[in-house]
Amino acid sequence: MTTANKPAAPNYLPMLLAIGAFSFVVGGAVTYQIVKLTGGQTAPLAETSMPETASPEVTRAEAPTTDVSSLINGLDLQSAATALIVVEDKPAFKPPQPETILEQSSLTALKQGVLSGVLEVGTTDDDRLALTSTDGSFDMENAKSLIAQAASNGALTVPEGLDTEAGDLDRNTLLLAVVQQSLEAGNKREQDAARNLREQAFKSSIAQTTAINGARYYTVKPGDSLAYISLQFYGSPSAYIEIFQANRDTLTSPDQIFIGQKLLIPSV
Amino acid sequence: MKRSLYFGASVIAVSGTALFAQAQADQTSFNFNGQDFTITRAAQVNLEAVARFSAPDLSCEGKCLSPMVAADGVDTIGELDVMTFMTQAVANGSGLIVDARLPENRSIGFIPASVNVPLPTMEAENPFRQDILLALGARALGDTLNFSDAMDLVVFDAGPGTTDAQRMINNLLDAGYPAEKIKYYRGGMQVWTALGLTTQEQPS
Repeated sequence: MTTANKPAAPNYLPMLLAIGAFSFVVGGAVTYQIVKLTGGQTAPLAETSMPETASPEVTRAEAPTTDVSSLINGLDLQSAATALIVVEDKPAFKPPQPETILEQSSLTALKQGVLSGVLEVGTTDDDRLALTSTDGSFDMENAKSLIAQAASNGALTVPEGLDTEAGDLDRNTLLLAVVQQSLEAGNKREQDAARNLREQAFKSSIAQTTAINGARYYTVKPGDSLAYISLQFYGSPSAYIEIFQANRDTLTSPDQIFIGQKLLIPSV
Repeated sequence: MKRSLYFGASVIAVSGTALFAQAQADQTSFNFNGQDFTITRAAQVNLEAVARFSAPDLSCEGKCLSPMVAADGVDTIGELDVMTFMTQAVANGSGLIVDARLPENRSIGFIPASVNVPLPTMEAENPFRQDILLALGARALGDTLNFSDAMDLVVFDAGPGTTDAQRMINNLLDAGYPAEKIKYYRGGMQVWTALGLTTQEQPS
């Protein structure tokens, strides 16, 4: 069922890159000719020839990347951390436009990874749910430190429920939440990928509950955040609010839970 | 050498007696759904009952003999295991004994504290299959199921002469039920009654 919904890996990527490279050469040559003709008016003409390019620092030098994973692995921390917030307003992924391939940031690389099936929600070595690289090509630690940096320098506002019982930032779940939310706000294909992530998380969760008078209770474990508990039972970190509302008598804040605490898990 | 042989034989004799005693004298008592159940072994076997459970099922085509293993990863168990399962998993609510037969066959007699989940209800075409799986403890997100909270099951049918339990187990596996949560009691009603173990006729 999950495999059927999995978006097919885009096999047009090399083609697009070829188109991109071709148009770059042609565009470059044309621009060069125009520059030669018009002398001083370099900047406005260069802008009109690449109108969709949002980040000025994205240059041709980074473009010949052939797989999405090396996009995120090769990024420098500072520009990617700021790119994380910028990218929310950018247009959704449109396969026919070579410019989209040039538009690089960690989030688009991650989204690409999910869309191509290289990234999915799986179980880590310590049995925790997280965005994992199916072929090991994505450096998830790098992605997590990028997101943590964006959170600490204020580039990214951390949603509620992402503090662990120990008071740390739940970086695994934050990363997944950002990618999932961004996909949910995207086009049909991205929304399907977001739903697929939800189903993967829901299916692979090994969290168990205890039934008390017909209701399910979960006992908080080391490393848990409310968003992570929500991920385990609803496939999405954002449903933490359901658990928070159902436990208002014992919870004062979505960011204050403790090991051993029993939380009512409402059925959806 | 001779002495050790005697010793070995006596150990076998003692352990054999112990097993026999456990099955015969020690009764198995447990509580299920707020009701007390006791399994004992009758001194006399009800041959008439054995005959009823062993009557060939006319609806069954072919040999209708159960394989020793119902499916990969599903353990086949015996009567003592069923009784242990009763006093542990069934008693604490984490396990269920599932009768895969149709209700009309079940009415002849069944293992106490078992529940009837007829084979057709677990077939993929049954629109209520997911509801049954939820009742067995699965969690659902739309059509996606999670079995982390699902109950441990012991599945049985009329016995080695029928294949209801085997087919039921394969339907459960097709629905995503984890193999390690399923046990196959191959003996079923035929062996259970032949051993004189307690049966129940009326739904409790």
